[in-house]
Amino acid sequence: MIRYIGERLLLMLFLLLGISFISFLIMQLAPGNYLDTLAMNPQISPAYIAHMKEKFGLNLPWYVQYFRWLLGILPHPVNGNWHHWDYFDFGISFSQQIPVFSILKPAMMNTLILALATIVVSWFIAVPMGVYAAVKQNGPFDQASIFLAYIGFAIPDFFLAMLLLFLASRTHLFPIGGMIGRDYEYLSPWGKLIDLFHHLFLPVLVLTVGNVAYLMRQMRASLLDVLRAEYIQTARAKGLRERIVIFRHALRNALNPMITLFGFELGFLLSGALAVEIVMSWPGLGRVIYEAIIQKDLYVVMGDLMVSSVLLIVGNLLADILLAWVDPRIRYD
Amino acid sequence: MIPLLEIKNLTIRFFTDDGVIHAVEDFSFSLPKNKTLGIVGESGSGKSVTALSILRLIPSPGKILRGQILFEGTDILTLPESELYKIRGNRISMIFQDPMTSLNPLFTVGYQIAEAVTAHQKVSRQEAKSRALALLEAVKIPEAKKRFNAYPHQLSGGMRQRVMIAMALSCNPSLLIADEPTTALDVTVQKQILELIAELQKDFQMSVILITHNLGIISEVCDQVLVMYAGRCVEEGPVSSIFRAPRHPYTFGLLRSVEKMIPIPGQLPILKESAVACTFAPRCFLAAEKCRQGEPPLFDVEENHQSRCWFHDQVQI
Amino acid sequence: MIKGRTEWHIAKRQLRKNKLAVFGFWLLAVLYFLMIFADFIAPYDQAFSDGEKNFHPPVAIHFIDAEGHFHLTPFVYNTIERPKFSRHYLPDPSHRYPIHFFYKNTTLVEHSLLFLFPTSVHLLGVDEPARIFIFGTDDSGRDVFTRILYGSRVALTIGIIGVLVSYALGVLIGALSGYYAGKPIPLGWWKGWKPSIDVDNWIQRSGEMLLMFPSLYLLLGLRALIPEHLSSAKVYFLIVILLSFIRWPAIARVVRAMVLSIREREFVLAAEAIGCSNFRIIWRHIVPNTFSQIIVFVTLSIPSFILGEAFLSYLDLGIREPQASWGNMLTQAQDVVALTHYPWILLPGFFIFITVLGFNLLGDGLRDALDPKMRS
Repeated sequence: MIRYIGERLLLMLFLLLGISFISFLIMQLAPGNYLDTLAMNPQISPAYIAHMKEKFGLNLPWYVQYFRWLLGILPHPVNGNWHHWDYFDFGISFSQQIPVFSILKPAMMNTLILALATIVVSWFIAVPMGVYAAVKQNGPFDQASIFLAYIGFAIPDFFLAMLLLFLASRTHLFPIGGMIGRDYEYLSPWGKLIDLFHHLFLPVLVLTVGNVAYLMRQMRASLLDVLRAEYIQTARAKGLRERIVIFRHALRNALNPMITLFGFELGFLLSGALAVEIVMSWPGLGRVIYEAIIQKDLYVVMGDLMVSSVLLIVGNLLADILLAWVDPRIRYD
Repeated sequence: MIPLLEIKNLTIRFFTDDGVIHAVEDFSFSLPKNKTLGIVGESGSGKSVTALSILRLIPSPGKILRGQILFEGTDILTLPESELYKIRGNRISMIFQDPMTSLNPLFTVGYQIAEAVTAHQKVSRQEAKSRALALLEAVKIPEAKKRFNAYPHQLSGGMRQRVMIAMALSCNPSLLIADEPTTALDVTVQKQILELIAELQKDFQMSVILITHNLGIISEVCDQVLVMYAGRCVEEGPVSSIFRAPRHPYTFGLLRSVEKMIPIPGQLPILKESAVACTFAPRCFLAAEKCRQGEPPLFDVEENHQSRCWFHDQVQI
Repeated sequence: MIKGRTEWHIAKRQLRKNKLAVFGFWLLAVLYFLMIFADFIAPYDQAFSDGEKNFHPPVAIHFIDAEGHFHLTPFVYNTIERPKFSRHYLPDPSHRYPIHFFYKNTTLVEHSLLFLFPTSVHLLGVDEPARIFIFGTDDSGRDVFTRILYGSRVALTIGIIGVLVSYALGVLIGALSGYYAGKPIPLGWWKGWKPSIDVDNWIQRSGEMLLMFPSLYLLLGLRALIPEHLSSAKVYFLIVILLSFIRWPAIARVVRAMVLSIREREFVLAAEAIGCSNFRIIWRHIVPNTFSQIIVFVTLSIPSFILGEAFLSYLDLGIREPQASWGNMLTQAQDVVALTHYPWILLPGFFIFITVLGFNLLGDGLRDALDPKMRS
């Protein structure tokens, strides 16, 4: 089991290297950069621009730039001083003149809050719904849930977000976007939490709708599949009550394929979250990358791409580990 | 002396989108205590469905239309659900064909056996565990203590089937139904399992119904044989009698296919309506006009031996 | 070819039984019909704008006039902005403007019905200065209904074209990958070292890399590679390429699995024995057998292209003015104030929704119909 995790981690490292290169490549190939827009401003002297170019090493050949950037991310001694180490140095944001990581770190936290809240809510709703739909197959609940699932799955995230914003502004029940209110700092810890939840509600709702639609169908299909298995017949033949057959034997086995989904959830949600973040002004990684692209803030985009990719890979890794943990067939092979 | 199990006029139909399938038609037999009955037939003959009906495990769209299943005098088909649970796995047990898919891959074999114990008896976990261990030893699994914590995929086919048997015997049932227990196993292992079943039958003093398509394995274990075709009993009798002198052309054909590898031409019919003629007639070497005009009844040909054929005295070995 | 015609017939029958799939099919049929005849059905054209009627709500259609008389033909009233520049419109009941069908609107540019017959006739119309803004107008006074119809041209075609491109790309790459799986191409012999290209491995790894990025992040990132100021047509083309580029690993992976399962079957070995070239084997034998699964996969992939384009256009990174796209029509909804007061600008989103729904229903239905396990 440890070996399994170790192998996975090693693979992850290689993947990270690959994606760092791709991220770098993407921004290198993008025409124009922030300094070009600056150059159009007559108030800024060419000398200043030349100085910035040199400071950021933009005159160097691309492979050198890549290595410098990569080295910055990895733990490295600062200015040859072996007593002072730095890491996660993704460079400086052109537009805000602060280290990229200081932009990315809170953004990452915010996106994670959104994603994790969505995951928790979705699973709590989707699993019971899927189980019930499967157990009462073709019953009214099942038919209704299939119908709702199609609708939930087809609604575009950004459209639903706009729809909810419209309702929010009409009913004044929820804030219209953003993550925290204006007077956040003056609130008590409890107040802060409530304020956060208040702002979290609509974005999570948007993401949950699509997510539940998908998960519930998967759960239902998985359980139906398992209920057809021979060992369920054996369990019944043993004289076990139907309830035990379903909840101890069938559900346990049906949740197995869902566990892998659980890890991949993070990857799916990151994309969905991007749309929601932009429409609802939630300050997460998605919003950051969008603004950085508009402003051609090179290092921010690269860093953001890497960080979001890392999150996805970590999620996948989690899925692999979880699956190995619960399925003895993989564990003891 | 009331027989342990008595089935009377059992009729089972499957209501599918493609039509109503007559799986079992007016089927009857009786099984005394401590005896082994073998039910033989090709796939689709209705034997598995009959077995499942004893425990009322028939999957939809199947329905038991008519009949009685009397176990120790009580009709199982009229029992309420709560009573049914007390019989399944407790007084009547069943083992199935493919032990790999019949055992839950996510639980250890020991757990699954112990579960069978605790389902019917109020014992502590420790007690259940030791009973399970004892059962593993009874079915002759080597290194039972180690195997207790094994998962099904870690055992061989033969061992898994032993586990299934152990699970079935956990509550000392009076009747064990074995549905094709050896079909999914290697030939060498098949013999071992059959011997095990025969031995356990004596040790545990129970009746056994062995269901198979292979007439060859019947002689190992069974006292009485019942041959099924298209949902009906076509011949029933003591093993020696049937093997020595079959009284139905189908049985004759089955024996020949086992001993001389000569198959019976044609295929088992899937009946969608009540038969108006002998169902075996299309494939029968003795078929005559009479066979096509009406379904033959069961004739008593000898002591405890019946055959559903107009020409039952003309079948020769 | 291995597939018999009967398999299609069985599938078609199965499909017809599925009510949801049939509903999806007709939904799409109606949408495509609207798309083809957009010029005719729309009362105005894309660029037409009535500067005095910005953010006009959907025009009310009446049958009974101010005096309570019933008229057989529906009619509308002209509206006046009162107070001025408030975008608040009051109907003027003094004059009735009946709705004409097959209205010859000479104020607009001539359009060509089915690209063949130039004409000025539109399905609906009212005389000036009244307007028949069925879905209201946007901030420039352009008819939303018209632009939705024209916008359908972008959405409904980009899905098909995009999927074809990525399908072609994915199948080619996947087939290559599957065919050479476990069979590296040797590059010769050089100083005791036998270099070879493991085509399969390379393709798979690069595909995996691409899949490691969340799709929208990758989409935005790649979009940044495209220069800002290109014509709409070029942007459309490049977006198709972009979206296909993101999608090929998924398709290639599916194709590769299918190829692997078919590869060892007899007819392929037979073809190899005869001496068919590798490419021929891939093209002639493997591809047709994976066809039905590809169809399903492809139908279910179309929505992601439609959504991708819509989102990019919404962010002003996709199709731009003056070409209408359901996505760029939604950009105006970014202004929450506008959204609150003029909710009809959200209608294009609804159309995106039903298009995606249609493809999902149809795709699922196809999958159930073509899956042999589901046959009763």
